[in-house]
Amino acid sequence: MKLIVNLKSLEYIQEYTADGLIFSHAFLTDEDEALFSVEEIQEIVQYTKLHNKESILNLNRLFHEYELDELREYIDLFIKMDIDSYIFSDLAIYTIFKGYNLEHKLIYHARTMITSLQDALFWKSKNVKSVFVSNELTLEEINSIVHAGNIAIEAYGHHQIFASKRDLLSLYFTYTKNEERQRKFKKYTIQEELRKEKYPILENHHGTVIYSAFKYAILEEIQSLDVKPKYIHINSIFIVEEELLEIVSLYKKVMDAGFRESITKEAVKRLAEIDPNIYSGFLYKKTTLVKGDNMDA
Amino acid sequence: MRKIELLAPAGDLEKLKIAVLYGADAVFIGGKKFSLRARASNFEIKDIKEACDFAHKHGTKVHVTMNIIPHNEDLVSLEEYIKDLDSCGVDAVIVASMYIASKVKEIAPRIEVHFSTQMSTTNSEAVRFLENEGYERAVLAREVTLEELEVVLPNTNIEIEVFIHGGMCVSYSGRCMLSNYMTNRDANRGGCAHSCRWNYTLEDEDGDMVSPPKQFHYGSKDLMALRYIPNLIDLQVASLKIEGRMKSIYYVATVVRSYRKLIDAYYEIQNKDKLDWEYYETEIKKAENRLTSIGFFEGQVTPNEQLYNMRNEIPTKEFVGVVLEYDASTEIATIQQRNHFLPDDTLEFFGPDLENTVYTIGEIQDEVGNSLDAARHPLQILKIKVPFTLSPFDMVRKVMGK
Repeated sequence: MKLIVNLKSLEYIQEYTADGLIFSHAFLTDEDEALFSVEEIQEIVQYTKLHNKESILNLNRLFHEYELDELREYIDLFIKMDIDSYIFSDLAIYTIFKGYNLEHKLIYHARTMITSLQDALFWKSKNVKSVFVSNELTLEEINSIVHAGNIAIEAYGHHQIFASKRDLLSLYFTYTKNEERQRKFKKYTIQEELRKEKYPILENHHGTVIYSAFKYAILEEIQSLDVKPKYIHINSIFIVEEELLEIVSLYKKVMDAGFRESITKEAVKRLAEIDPNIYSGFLYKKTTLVKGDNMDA
Repeated sequence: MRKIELLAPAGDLEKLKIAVLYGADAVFIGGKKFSLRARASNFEIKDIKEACDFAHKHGTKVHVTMNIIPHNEDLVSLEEYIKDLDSCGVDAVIVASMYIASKVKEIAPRIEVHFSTQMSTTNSEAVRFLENEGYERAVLAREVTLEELEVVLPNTNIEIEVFIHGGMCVSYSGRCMLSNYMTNRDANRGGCAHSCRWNYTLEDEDGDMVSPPKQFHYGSKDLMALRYIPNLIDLQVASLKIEGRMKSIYYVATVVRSYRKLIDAYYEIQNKDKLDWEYYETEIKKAENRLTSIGFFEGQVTPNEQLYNMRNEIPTKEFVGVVLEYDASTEIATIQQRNHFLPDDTLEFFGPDLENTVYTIGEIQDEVGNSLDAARHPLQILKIKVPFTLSPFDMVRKVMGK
């Protein structure tokens, strides 16, 4: 089991105690986190090789036809750097990596799509390295899916819960003639009229993303899983680096101690002190199938 | 060159029959299991059999939606269900799960597997993945532009299906968890609460309100790609999909018939400048009750494609009845009432083979010949005299008062 985290800055890279570092380039991801230039990525990869850490490039957005040539150029460039793993959600990435016989370096992370053991096993049969399970699962469901043997789970942080091609903030500011407002890369929140929680919303070069209102945390539950996940991931978005480094250290300490009870409890307590609003997502909350009428099919 | 398929929604057997008779080449329906829109999924296996029998008799194909993102518990009876669909004669299933797709191919290789827009397939390399897996069709993401389609189509070898009319998710389909996070209702298993259409307040990082309270909206208008049909035909798109299994039989009849006429006219005339665009648009407005836009067809959306004022459209015509039978010797039409109308009202009759025909009716009688001062009871059987031939499933509408 490896602890992987989005790298926030090169400056403090040596402070990251995680087993793997996730990084990306603004063209390749819709997450406004861990973004670096090609030169910086080269530096990060060299660092990971020197320090026996896994290098993981985030390619996890959907790409459009007009972007494919540029995507192929980037992939070609990064493959030459001998990056260890690549997180993807667009099936195009699989096709392209298969062309290089490098699909075994891929980690599938489409956020919503892996909700059954059978779908996880499908991707295992496609020879990918790992598969992130959906964040919408109960602990019982996760415990079933980990039997696939190559599972990755989100362990801490805000979840991206919405991704749109539309520039929703720009559109709204244009509509309301409020165009002087900064739109790109600035964090706003939305609050639904009947709810108290506020959801972070960000616009970037690829559209608009919305994140969960609160940070999710799973730690002691990991120990209870029948099969240990291949990766557990700490998502660093909206977390200041100093705090992030402490959280990573807490997780790492628990893992290194083999989830010894006293150390785990101490870490859980500290996580709650760092952010009293952390919650367990859907781990103990089964979703309902109240019938709606979304725009299928 | 194979003629493009017009694919229509059917929420129940009545809607299916209407869609078939009004010109759909294929219909999509939802069974009780595995379907993303379970509220509109009224088809038991026996109904699916009846649907297939009726549709096939008219040369129409039946696609069954199985496009949930399944949890373990959802997959319990999958194999039995696939066998049932196979025995019903279903032509295709629409899926979003790789596992469900693979099981369909394993158990019923005769059935085509179409990958749902829930997969958000946005490019030719992603289509190639599905092609390499041996599947027959990709339903492209509604974010794909016409310009992109012009590149995707020549670079793919499996069938491409494109949405042309109906509701649009504002997020990439299948990638939205708003409903689940806000209401515990799982959109990817049929529980979407339409959270994207609610009222929000937008704040900046300092907590200052950027929008007036509860006035930040980010939902999408519905799609109407009428003007792009000739382009899609020229590009050899395989199928044009109308969304809306929850819609009424009147909506289905009106929208399907309009696109049917447009497609046929374009194949015949081969010149989009000579098509009577105003006619098709006017026809659709007779049933459309939502604001529509061109979605992504021209590229990134503008405020015109967004749903900011939250109002609905009012159809220009109201559906008042469906024809059950017509006696040519007495010129008496038997009609099932669907909305209020009066003696001496001017009504418009239309049908699969009946051009719009306006006629001012006279007396309205009930089933036993009593004269009525109004047709006010839903589903009441009525008789009116009409001096032109009508057929079962023809419909009657009247101009809405403003």
